[in-house]
Amino acid sequence: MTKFFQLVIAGIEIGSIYALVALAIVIIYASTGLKNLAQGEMAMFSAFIAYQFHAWGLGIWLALILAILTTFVLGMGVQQVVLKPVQDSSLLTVVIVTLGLFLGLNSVAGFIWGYMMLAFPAIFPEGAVEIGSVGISYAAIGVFAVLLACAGALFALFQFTKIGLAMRAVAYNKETSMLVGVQVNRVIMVGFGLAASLGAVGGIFAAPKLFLDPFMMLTVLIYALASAAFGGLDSPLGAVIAGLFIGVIENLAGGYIGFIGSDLKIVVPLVIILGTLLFRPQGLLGRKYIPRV
Amino acid sequence: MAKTTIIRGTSQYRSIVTVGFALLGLVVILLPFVMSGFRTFQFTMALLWALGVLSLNMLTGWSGQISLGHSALFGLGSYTTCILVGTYEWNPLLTIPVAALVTFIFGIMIGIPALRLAGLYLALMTLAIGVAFTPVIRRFKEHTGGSMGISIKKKVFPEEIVGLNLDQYLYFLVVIFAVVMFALARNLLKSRVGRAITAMRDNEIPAQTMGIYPARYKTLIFATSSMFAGIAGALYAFVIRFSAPYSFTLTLAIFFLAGLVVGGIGTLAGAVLGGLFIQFVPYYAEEINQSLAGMVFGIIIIVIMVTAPTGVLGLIKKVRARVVTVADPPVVRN
Amino acid sequence: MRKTTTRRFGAAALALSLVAAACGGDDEADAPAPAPAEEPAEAPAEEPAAETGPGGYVWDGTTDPGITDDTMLIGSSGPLSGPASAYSPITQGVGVCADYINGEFGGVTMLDGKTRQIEVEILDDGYSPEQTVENIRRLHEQVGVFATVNVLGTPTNTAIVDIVEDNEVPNILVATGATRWGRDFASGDYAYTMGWQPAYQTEGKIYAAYIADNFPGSTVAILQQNDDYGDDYVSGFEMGIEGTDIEIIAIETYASGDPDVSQQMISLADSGADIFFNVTTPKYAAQAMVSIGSLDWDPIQFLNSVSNSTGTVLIPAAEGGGAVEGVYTAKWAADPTDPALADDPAMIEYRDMWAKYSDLNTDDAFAFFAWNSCMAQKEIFNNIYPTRDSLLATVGNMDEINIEVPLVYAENVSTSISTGDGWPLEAMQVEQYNGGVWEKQGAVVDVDF
Repeated sequence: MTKFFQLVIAGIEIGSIYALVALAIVIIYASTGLKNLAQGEMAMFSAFIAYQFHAWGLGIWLALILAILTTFVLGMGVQQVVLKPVQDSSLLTVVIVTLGLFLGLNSVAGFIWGYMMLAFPAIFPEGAVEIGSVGISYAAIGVFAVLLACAGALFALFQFTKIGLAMRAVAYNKETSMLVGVQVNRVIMVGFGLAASLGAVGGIFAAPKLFLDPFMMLTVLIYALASAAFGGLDSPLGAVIAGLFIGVIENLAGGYIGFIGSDLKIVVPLVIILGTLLFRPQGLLGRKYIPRV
Repeated sequence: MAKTTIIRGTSQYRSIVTVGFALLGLVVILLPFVMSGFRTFQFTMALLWALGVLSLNMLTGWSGQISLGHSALFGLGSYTTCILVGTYEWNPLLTIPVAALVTFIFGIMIGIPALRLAGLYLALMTLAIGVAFTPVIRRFKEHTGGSMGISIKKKVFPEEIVGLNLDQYLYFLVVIFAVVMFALARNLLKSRVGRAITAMRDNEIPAQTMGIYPARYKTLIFATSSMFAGIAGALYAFVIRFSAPYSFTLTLAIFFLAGLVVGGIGTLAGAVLGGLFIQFVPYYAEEINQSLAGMVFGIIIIVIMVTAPTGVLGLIKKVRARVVTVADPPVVRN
Repeated sequence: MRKTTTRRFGAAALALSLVAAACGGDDEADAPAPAPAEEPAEAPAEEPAAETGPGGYVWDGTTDPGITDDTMLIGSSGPLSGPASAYSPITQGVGVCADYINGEFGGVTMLDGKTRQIEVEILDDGYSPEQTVENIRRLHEQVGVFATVNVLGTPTNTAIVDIVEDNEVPNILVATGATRWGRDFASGDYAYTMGWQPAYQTEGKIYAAYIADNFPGSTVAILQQNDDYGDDYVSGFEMGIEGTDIEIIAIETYASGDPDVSQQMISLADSGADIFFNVTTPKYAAQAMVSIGSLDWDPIQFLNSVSNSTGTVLIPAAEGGGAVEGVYTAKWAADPTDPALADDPAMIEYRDMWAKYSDLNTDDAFAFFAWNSCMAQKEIFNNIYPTRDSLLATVGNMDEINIEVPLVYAENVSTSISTGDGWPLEAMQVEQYNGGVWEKQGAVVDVDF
């Protein structure tokens, strides 16, 4: 049983990372209808920024808060410079542009920080809470707590603030929002910054565990996309639940199902994507889309 | 420069088109005799990429569906040929119909579920297929050679065929397939099927009300597109004589998409430009800055998307429009 | 005189599977000897047409393509971009090496007495085999190289072996430890492709022998990458434990590109094995050691040489809370980040020269790999006649020339660069990581096939 619980805990830890990046994807999708394939690379980049602040001598918490704020600004900048011009173009154009962004960010990070992995300083103290023979590391507890805090803050933002209300309005209907005086462009810009920051949180808290290199978030992105699809592309709550679920399930599948083994682990989220799309395309908690002429 | 106007369908127009095509044909035929073996090989590769882009074009350009999984279909074709020739010692040419059939069936298999999906959701699903391809190939290594890949011995090809060396032979083989496939694609697009598909792309619900069954056409186009990718992959196996998982990653799918939009989406000539782009441009991206090649390439894509959404072909047409006007003949009313 | 070109970057290649070109090692070797015209003792004959080189090669006075009276043109291909670009210093190092040899010695002085400047053409393949095919054809047919050096990666080299064979252009010192290069070179199946670093299988056998001697009766759990590199190690290990009382009780695999390996480590810990054999590339090696630090499992660890760099693996892993004390590894080359070697003359020479001729990070194990290979290149090219056959005869008989590579077993160099069996390096030193330095354990182990 030790193995089982240990796998579940490891699953929750990595699942929290998937969930954070999935949240970022969902926020952008909900407010703009586009899926940012560069979300993972942006998160990776933020982790490098935090690393750099720390390397310059700042304390780790200060470094990561500064990095998240920097990312917020960078996210808005990227939206204004790169995505705004193609915002109303075809879906394909937008996908291609985010792929271009993906290639570019990856290459720049490699250029600046190199391709060798770097040790990211521990954010939480070392050690673990022992329950019987099962050890729960402080890092695992910390990452999970951060996820809950982010989800809670997001909920509060959407429910209780004006900008949150505006974002929900834009997500619901862009034209109508514009008519009632919402500054749609500004809302989208803030939404992008917010999503980038959430992704940054995911990247930064993933870095001590995964070790930092330009390809750190490549596969995490796939898991995050699977989480977003599974939970419902427009449901933040769905993204959180799905992220955790996928983290746990892939670990248990890898640990117990011989055929899957650890070889085909990556296939687990892909099968989840396929299954969801086939049987419930809107995801667990997403809204159903009804095409209109 | 004086601007001239050419009327479509006149003898003047026809002779210009005829001369144009004749010149193009001459260049295509003479190329491998003028160029070195290596250059010939590069053009063969460019044509193979063009076929990959063409297959994606049928799906994305005509029916508006985004696929990030065409690398897997291309790879499936290549693996089919490599396994049949490498392991079972088939005649290479006979593997092409098999690769076509395998990918056609696979296309139907993914086309049916894809029916229920549109836009981003389909992109997600094909992304999943594209990403799953590599681990699955590695998993079944007794057939695929795993990460070591599987190769075809050179000696299965004769040293000299009808006076051509191997590079020239492969070049002409690919040219012939390309001509046939482009012609097929063109005819398919102009046929009833093609019109139905583009009607659905532009607006599905009215198309339905006009009696077009999306299911049948969408599955058909998916299967055909995937078959084209498979044939291109099989030919790739002829040229490279090796298949390894590393060759058919998401990168290749991104390159196809990039080639498609850069060349000019929805057009046949755009696919050729896209193939040339995939083969030759990253080369020069590197010349600008070696360690930032990815960034340069990313910027090229973004800039083209933002400034010239119709791709290079669109730009060429714009430039041409400044020199000559090609007009439709005036409608004669009785 | 270098030119670098590229095409195709594997930016998004999710399926990256890194080669595992390794290094490590230590100890001393003299500063490179000033190299002008040193003839091997056995070839003093002055008249042409009666001259012999290493391997009994008899020169007929001809010169092969790629070589003129004052230049030699060589090429290389490797991942300068994309997910595998951590290895790019190995590829770039071919160019740096040429600059170093040209700058310090005026070029290579071949056995015909002529000194030639080395010119290098380096191409990027992004670790994508079809790009390597294009590159190698370009090097052979367009550029017209005399030979290729340090072409990196197992699948990439596999894609080109036939072309290399057809074009009869030697592809020497390939940067991959797959067992086939040595085997096929020795058997003559692929006589133009020649390896350098110890084969992964050899290293697997060395660990097996060490464990059988020092930890009899123990059980082993293995984490391996699910590709040829991982399989080579494990099959070598399995061969090595045959007939002993050592037993493998758990094997877990991962795919390069996976986010982390904690699930695999939990499963291995569950086996409760005495020994953990870590067959992973640097990032996963560090993750695995961190996992052990947090799990209720305390095995004796054996770490493959692919990931035994102090600076780029052990120190980061320790910072992340990893269990690194007492880890065993096997080495064939020195480790530039080993603090014990800070004042070593060979290391100082390396740092000075690489800093002078490149902007590579000299702490990088792959930059040092390139230096090692450069030492070999220098001596190889100094000991050939200007023909490809002569080059092949020399690389097949490296024991006949004096290659000064800062190997971990430097005192034993001449016998460790072995004869024409295709594997130049087959001996390794087992070491243990104690208090931030690698300490030698026992004698150099020489495994022959």
